[in-house]
Amino acid sequence: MWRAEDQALLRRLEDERATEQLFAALTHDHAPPPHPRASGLLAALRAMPGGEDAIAACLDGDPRTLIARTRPERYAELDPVLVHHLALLHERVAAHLDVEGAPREVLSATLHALAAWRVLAHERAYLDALALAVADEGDEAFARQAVRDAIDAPLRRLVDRGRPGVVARTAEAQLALRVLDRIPRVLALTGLPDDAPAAIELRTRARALRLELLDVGFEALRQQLDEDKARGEPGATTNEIFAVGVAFWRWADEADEVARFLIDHALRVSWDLYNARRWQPLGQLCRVLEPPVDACVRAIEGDKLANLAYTARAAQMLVFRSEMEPHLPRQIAIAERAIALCPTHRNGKLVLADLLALRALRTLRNIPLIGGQRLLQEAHGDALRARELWPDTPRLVELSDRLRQKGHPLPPEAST
Amino acid sequence: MSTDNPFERYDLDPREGVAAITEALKEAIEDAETEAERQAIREAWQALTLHPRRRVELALQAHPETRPPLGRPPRPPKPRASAELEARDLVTLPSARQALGLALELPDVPLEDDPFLADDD
Repeated sequence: MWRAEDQALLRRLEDERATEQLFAALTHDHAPPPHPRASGLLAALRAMPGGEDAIAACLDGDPRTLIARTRPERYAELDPVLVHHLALLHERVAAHLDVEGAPREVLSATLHALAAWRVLAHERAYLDALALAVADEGDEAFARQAVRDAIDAPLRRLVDRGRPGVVARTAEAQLALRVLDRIPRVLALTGLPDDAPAAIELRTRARALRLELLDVGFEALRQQLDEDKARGEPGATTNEIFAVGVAFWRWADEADEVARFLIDHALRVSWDLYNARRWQPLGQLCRVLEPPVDACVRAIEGDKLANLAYTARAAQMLVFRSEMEPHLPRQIAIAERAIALCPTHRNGKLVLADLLALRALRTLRNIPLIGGQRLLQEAHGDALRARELWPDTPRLVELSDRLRQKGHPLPPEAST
Repeated sequence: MSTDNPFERYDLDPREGVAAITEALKEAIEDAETEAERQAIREAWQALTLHPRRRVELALQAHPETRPPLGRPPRPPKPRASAELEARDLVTLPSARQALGLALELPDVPLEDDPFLADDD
């Protein structure tokens, strides 16, 4: 006779087999099967709409639907027991996959695991009850603290594993940075409100850890730059250090913080080179730093208020680049960008005014005898703008004379 | 089984408490075949019983027991209740020796002199 108990046993065995197949599919057969208790995950999924079919399909050799079920859109809507199973499943998948071979899958699994743990941190009751039952001390405060530590542990482990590889730019360290950079995605997966304490705590913690990791790279660069400075004037070696910094910026997924670090340090070096009139290494430095500087400029253009502290610095880097550029139209375009970024930038205004005056003089020199009216108007416009930007531009004296000779004198300056 | 978590490696339920953990690991040590295994079990026991915080952390890192209960296993078949003899109980079973055509005579040796039962030393 087939009893209810026999059916339960059969179902448990099927769940264990499906769990093994699910885990094998997620880890590409790179890991031994999980503990049979992990199949409690399937018992929970079975109770959800479509869960039964997903398990049956997995047992028939197609785990795709079941895999999709393990990646919910919002963990907060699930039963804490299921969330706990999913947290462990994703954490183990991430641990068993090769971060160099399958970086996207490791990243995805890590983000899901973090989201699941964060929902459990928000829900509290489930983990607190489990901890209290396990702690065996009857001490609630102790159990709660142990839960907090345990919830923080995955993030801590991630950073501890990543930290030693920052300078060498390893895949493990890159994963840690990527995870910490994607906390908004984690919080979207949780489905928790932005102002939930668990969400705020994760955001704050992740920001601090991310800066901690980046600072490992900054410290190495800082040390090299200090040693380089101690050796004497900046030059090719300095630019090589900045090239390493740019490689670090790319490796860190073009992090704003790295671009800003490079700008901060490049400004000092650039002024040293500028004051020493060493144009060749300054031009080279501008070329080396072009990608991170442009990225920083784009970030400022996207949100000026949030990036206010860097507008003047990024503008100055553009001004240096403009001055090192050999072609006048390009020089003007870069200087215009600097002024658009920071309209009160003193050097930017001075350089752009000079370049506009230069263009006007060149235009006037090339005006044909017949039909040069449009070019004359352009030169006049450049002169007016140059005077508006920087009235004491040296070239303006010559330009003003030339325009007067051509019958287009500049109007008198408005008295202030 | 893929785990370094002692709760899973030694199939322990975290909710059963320190006494149950100790009992289960004691049995595991008795069954262990190598000193390395015994040492690993000792370390697991220390981690799980001497450090409550570590125990909680490991418990949270172990899949909880949430599988539906199995219920009672089927009972073994009952022995035949009737003691009454049936015709088949009275039938003499055919001799294997005769069927094989062997004329083997068993020696009439007392048990204490049987060489198969004698001690080696």
